[in-house]
Amino acid sequence: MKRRDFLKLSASTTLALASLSLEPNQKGFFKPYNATAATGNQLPGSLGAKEIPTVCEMCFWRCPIVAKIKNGKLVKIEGNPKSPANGTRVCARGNSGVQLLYDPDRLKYPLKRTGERGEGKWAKISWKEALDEIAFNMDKVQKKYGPHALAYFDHGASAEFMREIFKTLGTESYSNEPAFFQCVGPVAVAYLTTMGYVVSGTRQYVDMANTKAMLLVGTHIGENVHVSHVREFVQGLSKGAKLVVVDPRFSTAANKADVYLPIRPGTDTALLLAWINYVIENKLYDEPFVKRNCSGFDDVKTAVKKYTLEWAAPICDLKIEDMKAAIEILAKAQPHTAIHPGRHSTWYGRGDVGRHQCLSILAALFGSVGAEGGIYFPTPIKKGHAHCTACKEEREVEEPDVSLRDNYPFIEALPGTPTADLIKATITGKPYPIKLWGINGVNIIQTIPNPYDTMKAIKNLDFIFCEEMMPGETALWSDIILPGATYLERYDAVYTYDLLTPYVTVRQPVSDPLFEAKTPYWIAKELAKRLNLDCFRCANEKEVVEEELKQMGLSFEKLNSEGGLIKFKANPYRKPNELTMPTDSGKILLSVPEFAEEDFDAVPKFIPTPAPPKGFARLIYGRSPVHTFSRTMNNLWLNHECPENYAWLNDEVAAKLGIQDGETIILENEHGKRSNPIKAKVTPGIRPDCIYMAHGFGSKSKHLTRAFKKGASDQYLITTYENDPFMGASSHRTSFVRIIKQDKVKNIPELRPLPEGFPRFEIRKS
Amino acid sequence: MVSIGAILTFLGQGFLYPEDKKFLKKGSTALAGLAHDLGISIPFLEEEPDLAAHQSEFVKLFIASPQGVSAPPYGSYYINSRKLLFQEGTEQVLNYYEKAGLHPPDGPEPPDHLAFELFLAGYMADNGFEALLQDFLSHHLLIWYPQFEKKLFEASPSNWFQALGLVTEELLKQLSSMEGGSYEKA
Repeated sequence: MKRRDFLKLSASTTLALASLSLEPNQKGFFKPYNATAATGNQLPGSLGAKEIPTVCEMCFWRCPIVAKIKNGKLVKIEGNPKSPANGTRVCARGNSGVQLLYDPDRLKYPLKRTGERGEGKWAKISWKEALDEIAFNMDKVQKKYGPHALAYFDHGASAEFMREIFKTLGTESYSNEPAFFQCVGPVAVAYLTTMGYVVSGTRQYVDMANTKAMLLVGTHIGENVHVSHVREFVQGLSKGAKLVVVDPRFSTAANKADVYLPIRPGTDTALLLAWINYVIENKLYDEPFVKRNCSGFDDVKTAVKKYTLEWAAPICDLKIEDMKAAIEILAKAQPHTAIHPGRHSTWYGRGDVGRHQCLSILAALFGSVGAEGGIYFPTPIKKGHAHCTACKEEREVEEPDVSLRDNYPFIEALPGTPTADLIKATITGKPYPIKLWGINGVNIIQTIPNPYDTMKAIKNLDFIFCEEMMPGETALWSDIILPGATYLERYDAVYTYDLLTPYVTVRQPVSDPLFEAKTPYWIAKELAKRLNLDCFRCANEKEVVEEELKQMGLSFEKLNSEGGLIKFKANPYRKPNELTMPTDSGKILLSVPEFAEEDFDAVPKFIPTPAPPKGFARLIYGRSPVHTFSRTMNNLWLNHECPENYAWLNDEVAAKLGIQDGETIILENEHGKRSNPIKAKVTPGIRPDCIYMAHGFGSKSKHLTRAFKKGASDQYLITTYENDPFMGASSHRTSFVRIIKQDKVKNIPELRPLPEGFPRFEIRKS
Repeated sequence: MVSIGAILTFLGQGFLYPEDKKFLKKGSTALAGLAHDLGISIPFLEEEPDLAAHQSEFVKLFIASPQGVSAPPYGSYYINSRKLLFQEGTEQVLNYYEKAGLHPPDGPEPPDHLAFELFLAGYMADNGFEALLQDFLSHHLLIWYPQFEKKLFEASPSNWFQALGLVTEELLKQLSSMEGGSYEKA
């Protein structure tokens, strides 16, 4: 085509275009080229890249990392070589932070719902409009229903500043979820009460690297990957430590065990009580240690007398000689015995605290508290506190007549209100109405049991908003969506690591926030301003961190000159004759009088968890090593590594039902709720009375780019749950499933019969 | 007289978030006229477009959606083998900005956003960078635009976005088949 032939516009087109006043080059849209914007070196890959030390947040473990920046672009993430915990190592998730930062699906602008809740129709709005609308609704709900009508579901570093707003407004309805109420609550209560500190909360103070024998009860190290924790586990094994694993499924850790006990789900406490009795009866415990450092030994001795190995064997469906071999291994290694406290402990509701109390008793009997290779003490690093984040005037908080925390006598030491109670109150309006939810950093639909109730509650709300990085299912239900900056685009806080290799480090940005994403501090500050709260007086989060560092005698300059991380000397161990526990008595409480005062058992008793109804198996779940909760299934790189989960099905059960390995099935729970299609993994590595799947898959969100309909969601099958009576956590292993194949119901045959009189879950017809 | 740059700027604006109903209304007439003059057919365009519906659709197609962004309007998404933003596609276009003597826009969108690339092509066409424009079209924009357009149509967009996509495609194709010389005002 010659230029003279090119596009002869008609008069009407010319007129239409002219009416649009298009003057591309006169508006100064483009600025003249600036030589400093030139890109620079051409070395391949990450060679020659600028390195910025910072802290990962692809999961809560927060490994120190180094971000490699080239031409203004993040090209690679590695572990910070200065870090004594992870060194240059990062896990698959840590690597894939690059994908999170540059993910085309990430939230880019504030959005406002324009369709029905859950429909996913939005308009782009300004930050001003978004924050004005949130503040208006918070104010309106608070005035009409009182402060407790404002609820906040939060998780992770991005949620902390905004939590201060809700707390300052005087609501008790914030969840600190899922950290406590779906995960660590029961274990935290057990150890706080018996040992005086949280041996297992975010982190676990258990010296696997230097131990001679380890016990894991349902703990899937290697599948839940926290780099330094896995390293310590492997170090211990490589130095010859023995390993005992108790798990209904032959997990990655079980694969390395000297004794593997495939226990009947729900009977762990029976095994632990029988072991405690065995240790006492056979005088395998550290008598001087117990005498000096423990209280309640005689109560325990009396209480556990009836729990023999012979009694436990049929209940746990284990062989007596295997149980005996395992406890002998653990006893022989004392005091260098690592009784892992566990982490995710919200299993069955009623017995969860007791189970972890048993683990605590066992560790104490072996004298392996404060001992090398046992449970150790954190090395506290005094953190600075930025006073500018606090709100100037505390508002008068009116306690509700009936608090959602009232039912749980041991919730006091823990922050927040149980999520299950927040959801029930939102549905029923009792004991007080909840009319507004703020959600920050957590996909509540895929995290809290019975998502059907969660969705029902959302429909009752006057207003719901979220701050997120990716548009997950929670965003789908929100009225306003705020795009939060990723952990790679912001300063956050000073992070201290108080385990065996203590250090201090900080998170600092490796990129400006992309698109119109804003940092959590900026968002909280702007929202507080609109609510007339005098909070967040530092200009920005960098000032917050600077103030925290200053109080520690540090600065960004000093920290960065040392590679972004400063190490401290650890003080984890105590001599047995110098041990003082951080309890009121200074001793380990084997028997807990406080529990008895609240009508619980001072020494745990075995209370059977109802077994599966006829035709069903118990649904159990765990983690994929390359995913974090339900947050990363849409991440391109991680999805590539593990796009879907599998339903682990016992091979004998599969043979009886005619199900082949890799065949697609559907799971149906006790309330008739059905899963997405999921492939069966037929294996002898799981008991016949349970079915396992990795958590977080099976998104129900239509056409979610990569995660939609990939595998099945455990959460959508967990519709039976009970609250732990100590602190209100929701149980997660109290639902059951059977199989649907080609539209036909396949009942699970009972290949391991229950002992006589063992209770069974009853399905209510309603 | 309307310059090629003005036409490309109009099309580029069509790929930015719609804030003004008048633009949609007048734009419909302009798109229909351009389609006629370019010799292609486009679907019927409403005389009274619904701004709110248009905004919702724009968000779903190009910004964010729990269903996944239907057609990310960024060169990098199509040029980078891992479909990440701010990668090779961005670097390529930065090179063209530099050669045209321009600094890329300050954001918040990246410099390889389709709208900015159309503005850049328009600047080149109107300011004597014909050879550079040909290179830009054949080695960059027309490498990824067809892939973008395919994704756009897979999302069954409204008539407006179908028309915008088709007119942009045809104009770029005709521009790239020019043989030398400057582009006179049409």
